[in-house]
Amino acid sequence: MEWEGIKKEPLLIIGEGKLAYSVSVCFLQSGYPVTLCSENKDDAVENINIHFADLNENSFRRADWPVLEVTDTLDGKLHNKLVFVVTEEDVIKKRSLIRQLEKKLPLSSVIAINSESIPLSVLQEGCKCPDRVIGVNWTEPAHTTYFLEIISNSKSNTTLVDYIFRQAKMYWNKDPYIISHDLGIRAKMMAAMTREAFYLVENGFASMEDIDRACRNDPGYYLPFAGNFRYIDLMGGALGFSQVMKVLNPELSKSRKVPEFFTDFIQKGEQSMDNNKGIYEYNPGDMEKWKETFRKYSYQIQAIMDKYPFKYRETHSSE
Amino acid sequence: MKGNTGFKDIQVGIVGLGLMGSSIITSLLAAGHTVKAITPLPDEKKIVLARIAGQLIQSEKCGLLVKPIEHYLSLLTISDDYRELNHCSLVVECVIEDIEIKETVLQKIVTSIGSDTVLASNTSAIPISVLQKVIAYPERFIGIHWAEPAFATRFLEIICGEQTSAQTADWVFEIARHWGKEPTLLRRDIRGFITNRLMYSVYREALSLVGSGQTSIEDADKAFRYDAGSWITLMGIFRRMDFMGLKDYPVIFNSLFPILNNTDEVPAIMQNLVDRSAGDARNHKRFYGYTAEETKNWDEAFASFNQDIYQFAAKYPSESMVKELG
Repeated sequence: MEWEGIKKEPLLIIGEGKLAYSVSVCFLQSGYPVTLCSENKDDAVENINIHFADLNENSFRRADWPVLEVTDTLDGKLHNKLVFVVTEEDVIKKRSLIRQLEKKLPLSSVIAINSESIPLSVLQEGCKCPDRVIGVNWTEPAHTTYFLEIISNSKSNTTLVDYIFRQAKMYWNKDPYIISHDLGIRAKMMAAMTREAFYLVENGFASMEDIDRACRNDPGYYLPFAGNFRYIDLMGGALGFSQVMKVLNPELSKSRKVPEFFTDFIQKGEQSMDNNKGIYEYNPGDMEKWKETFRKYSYQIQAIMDKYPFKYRETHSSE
Repeated sequence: MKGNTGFKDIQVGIVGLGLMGSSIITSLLAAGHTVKAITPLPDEKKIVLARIAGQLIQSEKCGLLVKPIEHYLSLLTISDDYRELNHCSLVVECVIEDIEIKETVLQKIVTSIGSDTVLASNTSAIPISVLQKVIAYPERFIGIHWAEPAFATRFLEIICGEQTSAQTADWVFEIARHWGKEPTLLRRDIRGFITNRLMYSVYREALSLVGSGQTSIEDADKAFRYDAGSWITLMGIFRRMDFMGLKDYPVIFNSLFPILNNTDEVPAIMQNLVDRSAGDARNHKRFYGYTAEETKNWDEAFASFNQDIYQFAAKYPSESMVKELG
């Protein structure tokens, strides 16, 4: 088919920060030539090189370094058949970037864009070819994780969506899933968890440290093995859990907005470990240590997950 | 109140020997305690012993035992006589989540224990302040919440009811550290405590997404295993947000919170599963279908994973990791 040729064709990745870098590495390790368009070129090159050194250390075969070009401008015509956008959650910026790409790309190119809370239909509005704008979400670090969320809607070209799905499975080391209802599910599930955590902190039931410790020591001891429903099965099935839901669900948070204590962090400019300020306190150099620890951890947790496949033979959902 | 030294030498009582009770016993035996286990069902004794022996073998593989398994089994007595609890410094109730049954059992325990014994409930759904009302010495009553399997996780929530004394809470916190746990002490009581509330919020949303046809059970599992499962053993959700940068989160949450599911009811998928499979012992109320062989494969794989993750998590010990590394 027409799209088969995309496989090792040069890819364009547009974005800033950790996730844009690890998405680039995800494709580089699969043998794709990559052009990364990123504002801070030096930061991008430095971080991608660190990942590449890790790859050589952690994989059995020595990775070949395909062509990587890092640029900070999108000049002239583009010829990439597949473009990945990994940018901040800003609807105006995302739409203007799509507009710009439409002018530069051939009509047949796919624009795969990340979005947690902006419906795909909103990003497609005003596009010449909305059918080729598809939602694709990653998790950091993209090159050691199996997560890939593909989002489509009624306007989407299903051939393209299926193509992305198959490529991801075959060549990008992903175990993807497709959501065809305009908005992803990962962000909603994480939002539900965080909403309840906010409630507990805001009302003085637990500190953020308490919640993080509980996360690491309880779901941290089964989520790398199983999703929530497989876990319920392993714990004896739905009966016991439904009894708890009966009394617990009415008391869970129904809040519609982020609590002030959290927005305060951002208003005070305490935005991330990168500037040594965040929810927790950081000293200079702490971010480097966390990045280093997380890099090492990511390969190790991937190895553990590899030992336990998602399924043992074909099972059938009872739904 | 007892001192903090010589924790190993104290006796601990466990009442209720289901799956959770058994794995708590295994954890306590591994910590060196003499354990008095109480069950009203004499037939249960053999099954429980076999289960605990199996769990001790798992604990040994995790590197949690320093003596032969026989030694730990010799520390355990199983009986139907509550008077066995007489010399226990701590008694934990682990019977089913039914308030009337729990209250009856707690009353029976109270008549058999000394005046300085700490009494705990392993409830994950009933507020401690509610159960506390029927206890003669409410200041000595507290919630202790393990995660399954209790012997191979570091999770422990300690929950104070309205009348629990600070002394009781501190003592349980210290003994929990002796058990090799990373305890979290909740000074205020709330139904479901921390992780149940977080995870049931996820179940509510995920079941709503499946129920409205937006995803499948399997894809919802992929989303959480491959995303959260790839970092949550190292970072809690707040640390993760710091790591990724906070800026996008209020934008995302303020869009998504108003459209999250808020149902008070047991979601239809869950209820149908419970209703439809009533009386079906083989596939008792599970989301995926399993042959007998697949069930066995999954249980064995999870037991093996428990060992892997226990040892793995030890390399990444706590929130203050950065300090320890530095």
